[in-house]
Amino acid sequence: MNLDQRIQAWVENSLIEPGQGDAIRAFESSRAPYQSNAVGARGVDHLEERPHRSWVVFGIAGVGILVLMTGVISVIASQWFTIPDGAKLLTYFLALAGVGAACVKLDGRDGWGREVCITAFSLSLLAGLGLASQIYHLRGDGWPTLAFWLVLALPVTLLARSVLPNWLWWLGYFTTTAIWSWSLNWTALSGDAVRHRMLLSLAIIYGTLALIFVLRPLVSLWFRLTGLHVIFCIVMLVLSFPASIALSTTHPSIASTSVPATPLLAVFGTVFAACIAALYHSERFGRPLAYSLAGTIVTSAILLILPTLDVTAGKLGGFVLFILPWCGVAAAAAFAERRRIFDLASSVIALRFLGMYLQVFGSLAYTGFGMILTGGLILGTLYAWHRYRGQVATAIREVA
Amino acid sequence: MKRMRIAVIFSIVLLAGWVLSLNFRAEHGFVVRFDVRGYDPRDLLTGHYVEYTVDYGPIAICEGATGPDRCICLGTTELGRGYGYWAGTCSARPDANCPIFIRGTCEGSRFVAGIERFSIPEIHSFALARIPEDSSVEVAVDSSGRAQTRMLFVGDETAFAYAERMNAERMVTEPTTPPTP
Repeated sequence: MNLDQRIQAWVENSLIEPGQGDAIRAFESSRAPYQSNAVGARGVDHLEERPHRSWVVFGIAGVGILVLMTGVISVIASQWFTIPDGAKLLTYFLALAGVGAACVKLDGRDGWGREVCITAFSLSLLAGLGLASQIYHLRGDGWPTLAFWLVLALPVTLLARSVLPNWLWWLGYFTTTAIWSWSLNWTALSGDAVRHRMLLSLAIIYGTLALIFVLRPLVSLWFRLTGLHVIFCIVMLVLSFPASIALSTTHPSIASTSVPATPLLAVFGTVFAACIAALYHSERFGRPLAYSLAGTIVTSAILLILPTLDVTAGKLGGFVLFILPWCGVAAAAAFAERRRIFDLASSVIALRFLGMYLQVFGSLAYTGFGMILTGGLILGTLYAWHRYRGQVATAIREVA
Repeated sequence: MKRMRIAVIFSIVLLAGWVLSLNFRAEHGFVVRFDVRGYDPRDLLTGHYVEYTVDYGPIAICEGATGPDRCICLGTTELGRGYGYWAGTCSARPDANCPIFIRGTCEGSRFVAGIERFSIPEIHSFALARIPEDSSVEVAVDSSGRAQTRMLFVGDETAFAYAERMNAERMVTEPTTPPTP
């Protein structure tokens, strides 16, 4: 539908006056680069006319540019150590300033150009840290360098209006936190160091998210939602599931779990990430997940504070850590009125309850009476899920 | 546009300030050279970096360390090599008797001050795959104990000159063309 047709539709629906429609046509006509002076019956259709763009020309030009840049990079790389350090730094900062200037120039216009420029600027800052680390023989791959990059890139990232730059920043944040928590010396603490590391990482990242929700007026919506997305899709995938599996077994070590942790992790993690991706564009995506995040923070903090856990408490803690994210998904799906995702999440929760029952009762579940009870429990859970899941979803929406 | 301009300038200024601080430390710090030896016990070639262990002399640095923070008071031998004569937590450093010191952390039993690696060109990686004997590293230390690597030496020549000489000798002793039957 071209502009003229849209204006016609607006006038017919009394959104604008006919005089306003004519004024819009005249204004757009004056801005068109290939206009004809007579607007006339064709209206502004000619605005859709552009010089024919030959994609073959663009394609060949793109290949040429790529070959040229590859050659430049190869020459620089081969002579890299003969280039004086001062020249390297000066060239870098000039290039960085150029990218920054492009971001400022593109700031007034929305679109992919602006967002790609912001992402390129963030990546250029990271490249600069790598360059300085090489010149001054620093350890550029440690968490302090990454943390410094997070500070450098944060201002421009907060001005981004797409997921791309925000994903980059949040991935960096997650990586930095993971490296830092893994570098800590846990030998002075009692209990399993692996468990402490996982729980500390969870508590720190979730605490940061809680802080961001509190600082809502200061950070952009894209930043908040992307952080939520990254945290759930990656942190949950990497930390929460193995944490719940490790805590649910008798040996608090991921390497010696009694269940096939890797395929289980892959299945649940993939399904979980797919649910989050499907819910991402819902308007009320953030709040229910924020509630489940808060619950996971509290659970992680409690598990971290307790010096040791007996087997039952460990299983319960692992169960809670598994259930909470899926409750968040179910709630978000209910808010977004995504029935199938809600069904999926609620069925996973029901399965986990069954799994908890089997873990608690252990071998007793496989006796005659145990199997009768187990079968009844399965059928009862299935019936309850089938009968009441719609009402639960409605109740969740009403609570909001 | 104004906010974008502020954000970009903030990032560039902060990064440039950090680079300038590194350069100032390297150019104006107290210069001292330490002997180095292989790390753990092999030398590690990590990408384009060679890692080594700095020899601070016969001093117990990380034994009994209750925290990561550690400082070593430095002196120089008659040959101009640096050595440590006191090691402990930085808060317990004797200020009056320790004008030059280096600050670092204890990672297990190993003292790390950020000077344990040196960037080398890939072309020199063969010659420097193992830290040669009589290797030393020249560092600059500022008044707060932070050290900055300046150059790696093998004997009296720089690591680059040594590697180029080794590469040239290897080209002579290992002919590229096969001998004729």
